[in-house]
Amino acid sequence: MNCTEARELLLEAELAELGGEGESELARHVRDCAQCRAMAREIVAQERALAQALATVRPAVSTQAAVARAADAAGARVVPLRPRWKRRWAALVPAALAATVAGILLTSNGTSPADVSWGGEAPVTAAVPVVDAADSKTFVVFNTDNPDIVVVWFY
Amino acid sequence: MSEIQRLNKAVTPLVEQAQAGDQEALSELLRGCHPAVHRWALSLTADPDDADDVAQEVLVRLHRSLGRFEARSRFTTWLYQVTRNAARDQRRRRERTERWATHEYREELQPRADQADRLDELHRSNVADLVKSFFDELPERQREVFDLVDLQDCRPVEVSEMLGMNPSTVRAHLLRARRTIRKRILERHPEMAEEYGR
Repeated sequence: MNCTEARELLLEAELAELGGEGESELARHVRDCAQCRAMAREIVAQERALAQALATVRPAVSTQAAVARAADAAGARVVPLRPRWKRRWAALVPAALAATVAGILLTSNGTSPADVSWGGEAPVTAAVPVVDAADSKTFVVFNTDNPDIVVVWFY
Repeated sequence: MSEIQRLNKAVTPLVEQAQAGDQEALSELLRGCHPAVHRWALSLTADPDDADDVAQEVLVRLHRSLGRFEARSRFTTWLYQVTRNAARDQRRRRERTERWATHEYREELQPRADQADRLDELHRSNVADLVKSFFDELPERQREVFDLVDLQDCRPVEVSEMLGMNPSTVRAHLLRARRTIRKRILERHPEMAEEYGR
């Protein structure tokens, strides 16, 4: 390996190689060539100095004070009222809609309340199908005039 | 063992205790993390004051969100992500402030005396004039990778996990950063300037 090739490799090599450690071609060249060794040493020295310079910058606030401030700040957080209301309405609106639709169907078809099955409870008539739904899902089953068709509404 | 591995080993037992509601463990965890978080923030923001703000914000987020850590990754990996997000938010806040600042107000945004003192810490050694400026000028991703691998002795595979980045991408960023910084280091030396000078 000549110096031109070695100097190109110096730009990307691991620090250990720059220190002449190991048996790579570059490490061997660095050990043997004083000029390339000087360049490699300069790189290592400056990078170490950079690491040290960054390590000497301490936080302006002591760790103890920063932890105390964090505890205060975390405790001071007040959950805003609006999102909580939003969440409550988000849960109520589909249930209200379901109740309304169920009411309309019952009134218009003259169906008895026993023909409507609400999610999660045992069917009240034998005609209601078994619905396989995740625990978190709520559903309503509507029977229709056609015994082969039921409407299942997940919300 | 890198600093990050040491930190992970030291704080991992505290995480579960803190999640179970042990306030003393939580305080100890925050104390253990603060220096590392500040160090990362310094690299991410390239500004000591911003690093302070980011480190403080991370402690608050840690306080509030530790329950969301599910141990699917290492704690330090998760913590680094929290720090990156806080640094990103800090940068956006700063950009907004600077965008809205009038010319007169901009003058007030110049470094204050205490900040200048702290910058002096960096400038006291020659390295600040030389390599720190090269380091700060690197693109953020390159600076981050170079800092973690070459300055903080993290293994590239660890860094790829922390940054959620392909190992070959980490290596590409690392080599580009090394090449930029080293070229500029060597340019400064008269005997080497001819070879490396632009």
